[in-house]
Amino acid sequence: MMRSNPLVTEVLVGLTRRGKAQLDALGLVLLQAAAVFVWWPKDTLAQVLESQHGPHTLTAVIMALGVTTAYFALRAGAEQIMLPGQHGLRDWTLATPLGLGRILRGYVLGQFVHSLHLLVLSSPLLLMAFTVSGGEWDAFGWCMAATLVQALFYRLCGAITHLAMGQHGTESLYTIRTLLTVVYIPVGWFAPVTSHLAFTWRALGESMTTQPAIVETPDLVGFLAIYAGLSVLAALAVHRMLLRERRRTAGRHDGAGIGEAVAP
Amino acid sequence: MVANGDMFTVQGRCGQHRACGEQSRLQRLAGVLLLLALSCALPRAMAAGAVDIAAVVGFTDTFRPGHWTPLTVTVTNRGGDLSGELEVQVTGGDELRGRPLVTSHRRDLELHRDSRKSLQFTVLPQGLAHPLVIRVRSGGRELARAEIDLRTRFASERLLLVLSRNADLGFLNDSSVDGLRVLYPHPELLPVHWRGYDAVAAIVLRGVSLERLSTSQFEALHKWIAQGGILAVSGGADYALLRSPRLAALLPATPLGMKRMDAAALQRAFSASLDVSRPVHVNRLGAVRGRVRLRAGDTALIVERALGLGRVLYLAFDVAGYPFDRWEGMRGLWLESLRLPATMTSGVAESASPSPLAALIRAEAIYFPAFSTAFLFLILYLGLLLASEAIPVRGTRRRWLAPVSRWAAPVLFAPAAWLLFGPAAFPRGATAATVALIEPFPDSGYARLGLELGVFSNRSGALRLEYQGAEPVLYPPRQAQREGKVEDWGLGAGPRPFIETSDRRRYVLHALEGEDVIAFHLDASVHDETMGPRLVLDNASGRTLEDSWLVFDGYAYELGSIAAGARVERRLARRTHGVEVGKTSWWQVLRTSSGASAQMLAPAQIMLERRSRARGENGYPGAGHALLIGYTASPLQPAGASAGWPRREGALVALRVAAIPGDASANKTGTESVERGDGELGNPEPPQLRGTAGDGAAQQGK
Repeated sequence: MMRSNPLVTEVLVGLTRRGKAQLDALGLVLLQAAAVFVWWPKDTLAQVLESQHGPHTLTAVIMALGVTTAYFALRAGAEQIMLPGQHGLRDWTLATPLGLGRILRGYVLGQFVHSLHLLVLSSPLLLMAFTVSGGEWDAFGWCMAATLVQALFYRLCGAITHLAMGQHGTESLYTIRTLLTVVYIPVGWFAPVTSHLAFTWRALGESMTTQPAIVETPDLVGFLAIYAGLSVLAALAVHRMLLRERRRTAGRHDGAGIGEAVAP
Repeated sequence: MVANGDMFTVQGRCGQHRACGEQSRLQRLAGVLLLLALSCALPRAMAAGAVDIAAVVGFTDTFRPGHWTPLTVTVTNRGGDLSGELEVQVTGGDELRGRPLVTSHRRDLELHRDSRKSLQFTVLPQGLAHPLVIRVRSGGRELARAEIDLRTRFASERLLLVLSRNADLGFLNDSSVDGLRVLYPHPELLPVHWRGYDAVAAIVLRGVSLERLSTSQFEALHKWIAQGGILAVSGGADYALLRSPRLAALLPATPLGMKRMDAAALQRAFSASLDVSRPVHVNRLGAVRGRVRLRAGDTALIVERALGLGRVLYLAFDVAGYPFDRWEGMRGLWLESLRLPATMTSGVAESASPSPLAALIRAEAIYFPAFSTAFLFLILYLGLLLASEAIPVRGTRRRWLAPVSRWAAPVLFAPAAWLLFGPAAFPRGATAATVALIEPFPDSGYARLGLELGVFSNRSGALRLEYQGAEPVLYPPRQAQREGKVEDWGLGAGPRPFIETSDRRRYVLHALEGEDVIAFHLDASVHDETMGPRLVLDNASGRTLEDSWLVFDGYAYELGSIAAGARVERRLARRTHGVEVGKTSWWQVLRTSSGASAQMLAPAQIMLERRSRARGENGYPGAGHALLIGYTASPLQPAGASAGWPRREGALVALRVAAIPGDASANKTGTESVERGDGELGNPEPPQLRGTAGDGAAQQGK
């Protein structure tokens, strides 16, 4: 399914090429490396045991990963960051006869592949932090899943922003920054179940005290369910907007051109 | 009509048959399902109802709050075979300072159908507010539960146990602060752990053989005496009991027969108030190896022997027989003979000093992977990522390299990060830490083991340490309780004891304090001679002592390693072998060669100081005493599933002996006696000190 979808193929091909998007991804890794740096344990084991607080390196790196992938996904959704040779969602809708469902599936899968790529780039940092922080694999897995689902939501939010605002770079950039800040800080503060920071803290932080991880699971599932639900709603909104775009320009596109662009 | 009727009937029958067939199939199916459900549920329900729990707290269902006590739980199984766990939950702690502390004692339980089993625990009920909760569990399900109300079973006085068929020592009951409660437990229900006698002031034995006790019960009794218990044995006509191997090993004399005593002699020995109208027979004693405390002419009536820190008394007459059963002075005689200490010290000592475990871990200087290593690693990784972006991979022949170059860096660096910062430099998992202080008891072959036991892990999750080598009673540090930092513990008894904390946090040191009495035979005598001390040492402990020192009379003498089984006799000259030390600076000798800086307290020092404070001593080892110290392996070792755990440990042997002046017998063990000036035990007056050394003179070249 993945290989047969041209949007996924385009992402896979784009990931092997050089371009600005790769440098942006490097920038994200650099930010995460800074988090590793700052939160790397500097005390001796005896001091850590005395304070009864383990290093928060992994928590910090995963929080940084969450923020950076969300930001990256928002910008990619708003088409401010494009992989080399990648086409916009509007182009796929207007310039090809592909069904909107297939386009949307490819878009979502492409985002998933792209996020996985970012995770692979961050993997050495994550493992470094994991070894000294002493997390559990299942909690680590929950955090990665949360990062991926959250990134998908932001990607779709970015796509909505782009479809609504069009190619207005500055406005779009401000909009996505505002969106990220609003969702991350006030919404996360008042509804911690929607906050990736709170999620990471719950899964890896000090709240994991006397209860086994399984007791915490409902909260973790709640986060994933909320973001998955929001992603479905956002995908429906994108679908509706694309449908409107296609109807508005119905009969104007000739269905050519994009296939040539996709071909390697 | 008939045909129709027949047909109708047939049809009707057919129809009924079909309906009946479907109905019966459904019924059969329902029946099978019901049977299946019943077959699954019934055994569980039957098992749940077929298990009974009965418990006896303390001795004859009487215990003293705040003291360790035996708890005998009898489980009766009237159902099928049972394989599960028996759990006793003790709730204690100071609820005003923090949440209550819950300690769960667990043992595996295997019971065949229609059988019963009694298991004994040693528990510490700190108060009466919470009942003891006893559960039988199997397959994660609770089969039976019982709550033992402690409010109806306690005694605030010290306990005096009388092991006898018919002796009545009720006159010793006294409800004052330092009073006594006399109990008559069945010998077979005596504790299997020495700490079970925590609330017991003394034991009186009359006409009962110790051969009836199990090995663990006798060992517990022996250890209890060695750490300070008092056993009084009554003589009588049936003196053959007193010649049985176990009692013979404990008694200060051997009964050789009976001897007739006339009234006048007895009245002279005891009191004129003793009403004696006919001659009395007492045991004739031989092979006396203790002090005669009471005699009538040449006949020993009460003989006492020190055994470790405890005493064994042998009363050569029948304490519950004529004429002592009606004598008013018997209470006074008992109290005078037993010489019970005024107050009992609780097993849980206050500990305001720093944690020796923390000191041990500090001394080991364990570090996280270095910051510089992490920095270098990150720079290399980021550099390689950047390089893969910068180096052009053009041309059709090398285009396949593009994805490789893109992902080569993370694919290489991810396992490298795991190996470099994980197993190579910082292995994940749990660590056990123990600091032990072993204090040999004189003339007993036993030693007190004071223990600080800690576990920590650098990953979250359950922590369960299985151990062997000692069977200490374990309790949370009082300091942690005062600070409200208590955590719940599971303590496993049986062939593979374990501790298990409910706190799953990583990087938290979960600590317990413990006490035990272990077999440890180390004898030493120190003779104070003109040039310096002469040390005679017999190390039959089976353990090598490392970094040994002798501290005596303002000087410390390095002894080095003392091998297991070694017998050492050394003359130590102050000028050539001694390092001048002060009352406090001698602690410096506790720093091993691997020790940390001079500002740090050594874990062993903290333990020793704590013990010294607990005993109210000033200037350890004290005037006229020498202290022999040395390091050895910790008696408590991780075992079973925890055998592979990394461990940090330190065990200090500290033997305090009274010095023997000048030319006294070299072969005599200079132990602390129960009573000063006890000539029969060879305990001399302490020597005169020649002066005190300044604390500043403690420098030594270790």
